[in-house]
Amino acid sequence: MQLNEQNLDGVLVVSPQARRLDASVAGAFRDRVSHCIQSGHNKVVLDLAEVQFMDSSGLTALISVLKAVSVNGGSMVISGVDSNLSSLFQLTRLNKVLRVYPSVREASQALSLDMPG
Amino acid sequence: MSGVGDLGIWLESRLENVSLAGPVVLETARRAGFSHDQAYLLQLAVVEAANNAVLHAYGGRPDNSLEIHMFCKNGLFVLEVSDQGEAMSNTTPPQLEFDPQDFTSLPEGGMGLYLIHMVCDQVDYISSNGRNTLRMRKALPFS
Repeated sequence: MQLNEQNLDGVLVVSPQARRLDASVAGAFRDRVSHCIQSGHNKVVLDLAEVQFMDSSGLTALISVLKAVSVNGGSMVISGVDSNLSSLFQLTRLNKVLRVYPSVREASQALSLDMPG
Repeated sequence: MSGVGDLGIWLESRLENVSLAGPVVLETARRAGFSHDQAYLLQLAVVEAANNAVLHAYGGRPDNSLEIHMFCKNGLFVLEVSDQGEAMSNTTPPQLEFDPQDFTSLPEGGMGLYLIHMVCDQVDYISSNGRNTLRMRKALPFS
């Protein structure tokens, strides 16, 4: 899976360039983002604008990243979620956990306002 | 309404193949009359069942066969995923319990079967003569 990574004023924005975040790619996705976190990034935006389908393996990868960044005193937020992904978050009640914003800009701004952990 | 006949897909047991089959399930459900949102969730259910077969029934080993079968019957859309691997030992619908305030309690697995039960009206697991089938049923819209 191709990932675009950019640093916006100290916020790491990770954008998977794939329509599906499923079991065939979720492990590699988790490892790549976790590596970025271990490299010192503790404010992460996952931009899912290109992702049209996610299964429970993709969800598990999101949870792994969220846990990893939280352990380091950081935060992870999500942008670009369509109605299908939104319904998946609701079915699993992860909408109560995941912070979702309409755009990368709004997600980055929200992270910039977070107090350091 | 049923705009589909009897449709079967044969896959070698690889997760990449499940990815390829997913959109076929979505399109078949759409032709059966489901909305895009409902069809998306039915695709999700089949993908979860097929992933489970690849990873658990076959232990992630390729070179095994997996079948997806879809048809309409008696007002129901029936989706079956069959394998010839190790049978599931526990088919009880799982719970998904966690504390949203405590990230350490968040689940890292076990959500697939939960989602299948959330999406489908009826879920049955049949294991007979070395063949395991997860049968999922959803009432057809307008039936």
